[in-house]
Amino acid sequence: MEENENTVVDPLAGQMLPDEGLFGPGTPADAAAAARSERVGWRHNFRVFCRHKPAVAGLVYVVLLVLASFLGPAVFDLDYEKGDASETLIPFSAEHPFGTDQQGRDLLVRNLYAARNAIVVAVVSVLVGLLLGALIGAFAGYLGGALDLLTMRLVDIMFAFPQILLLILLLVAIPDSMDRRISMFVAIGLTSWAGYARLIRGQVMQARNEDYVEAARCLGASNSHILRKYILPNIAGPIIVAVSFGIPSAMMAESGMSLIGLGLRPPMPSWGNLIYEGAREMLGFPHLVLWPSITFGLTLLAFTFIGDGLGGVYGKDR
Amino acid sequence: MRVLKFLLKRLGSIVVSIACVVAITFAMMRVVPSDYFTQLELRYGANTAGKQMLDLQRQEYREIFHLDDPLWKQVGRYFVRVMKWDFGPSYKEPGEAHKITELVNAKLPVTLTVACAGMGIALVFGIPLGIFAALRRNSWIDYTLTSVSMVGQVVPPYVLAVLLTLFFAVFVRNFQIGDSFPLEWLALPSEGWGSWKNVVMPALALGAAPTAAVARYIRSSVLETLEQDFVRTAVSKGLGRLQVIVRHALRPSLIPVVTVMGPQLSYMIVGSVLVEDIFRLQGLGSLFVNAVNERDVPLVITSTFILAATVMLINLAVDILYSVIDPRIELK
Repeated sequence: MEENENTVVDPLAGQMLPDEGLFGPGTPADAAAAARSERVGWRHNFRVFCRHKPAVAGLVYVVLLVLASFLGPAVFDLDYEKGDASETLIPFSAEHPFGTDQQGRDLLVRNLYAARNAIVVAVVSVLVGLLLGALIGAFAGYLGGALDLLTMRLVDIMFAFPQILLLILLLVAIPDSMDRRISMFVAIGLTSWAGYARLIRGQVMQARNEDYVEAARCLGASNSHILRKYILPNIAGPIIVAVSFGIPSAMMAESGMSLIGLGLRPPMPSWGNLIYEGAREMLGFPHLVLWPSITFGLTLLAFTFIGDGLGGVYGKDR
Repeated sequence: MRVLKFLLKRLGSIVVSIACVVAITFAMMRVVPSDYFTQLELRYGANTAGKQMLDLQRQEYREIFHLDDPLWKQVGRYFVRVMKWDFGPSYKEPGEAHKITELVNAKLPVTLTVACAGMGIALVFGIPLGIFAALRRNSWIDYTLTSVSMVGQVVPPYVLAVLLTLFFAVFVRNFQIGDSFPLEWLALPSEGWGSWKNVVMPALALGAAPTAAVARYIRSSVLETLEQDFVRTAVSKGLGRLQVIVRHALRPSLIPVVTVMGPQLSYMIVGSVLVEDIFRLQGLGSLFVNAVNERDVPLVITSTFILAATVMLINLAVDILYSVIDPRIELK
């Protein structure tokens, strides 16, 4: 593993960035080769990712958590709402490793459901934000002009508005009748698009002016072909990194909102409302708040480590 | 002259941004599906007579608070009030004309004190830790500091708040440090804002992320500065290691720290929204959350305004500080 660092074994991997050719800017053929090597490059990328040990640990943790929280309750027929009134506030037992709460509900199960909610909300709302941001940013960057100016002013306003405050106001404005998870998708998506829009706009503008794009255009490639084959593969890296850091921050947004009573509502467990409810009985029954805090903290760390690893792969630090 | 121009330009853009923020808030509070009175009804329940009362009151409020005016008029009127530092009455006490101003004057200092204490912790601990990690680069101390700072940066303040409190309350008490351990330090059981001791725990919880950020930035910028020519010159003149660091390497290394100070202070001020409730602090954050939950529109708008304006003014102050530390940087 170690000696691979200096001598690249895979002949196609990692060295084919078209604008780094030996004789100046690459030709469209180089770019096409790069696009092909992109597929082979996954193996190389994975090796680079694996060199970052915390990232691997994070990935393993996340995979286990996803398996446990999505399959566990289904396989073992666990219920987060049903409690056993004879077994309230047990700190620890063989049957309830995380203990039980005031209503005798198993906290391990509730934590698993909280993890599931957090992951679903984070992933979907990041995708919503990314989609919005990508559309707006790509149009602004590709078309430029007045549209670009206007959208960037909008982005500036979004950045001026403290994100938590906007999130709170949005969540209040969304009708209560809607499933709280869906309103979280909408609210977090609407508050996080600006960062993606700015990133993608910059990347698209940069890629648009590259010589290989120019060359491809001269050869008669259509806009959509250029966007798919030349621009997208070249801007995918930074976007993947941004998304991987977007997930933990969306998780924080979700649990923060649930903490102050605007996110998921009990009995639906979320790390935020578990921590809030546990904190009230913190000094008497520390286990109520300890486990959600630890699992939530570990999950955030794991996702951040994965982001760091991906940042290493795509040559971009935070 | 140039400084004056810079200030005017920045203040101008701050005013525009604030106007946007206030307008957005006004607009959002218009489309909120359940208003102040439905919240009252939800909380206390109401029979038919009570509902009629509430409806009457709702009509009355439309006039008192000019709810039927167009948006631009509401925002304009609000800004005229802001000029006089008078935010008018809240929904809860429509009779008291200066209620919100009093609330803001009482609660802004709480939030600012906690944020400044957090920043103080970040500077006092973060700078030495960062220098230390840079000097012992790639040793186990460096790795430990780096990973601990990772935890501080990633884990949100309310989780840290809970864990810190648990640690002090449960563990410290159990390990006989004691029964004498002053519980008021936890800020938890005490009734809100009493002595400076109430600040310690919230400041620690909120200050963890800034401490980590400062340590990280100092570490990398000290590493960078130590390779500069002027540091080599200082070393070859025969200056001691400490003197080289403090006299020559530290000042240029401080510049990136100033750049993180702005976002970190904003983070702590806005983060008060999430943390103050756990510590039972009566600051701007809890004021905002309560106002939102009660749909007390004037209070929501003013607390949003104060939080946003504070954040923007802090960023301006940091930009000015930036050019004081490094005169080569021009104010733009």
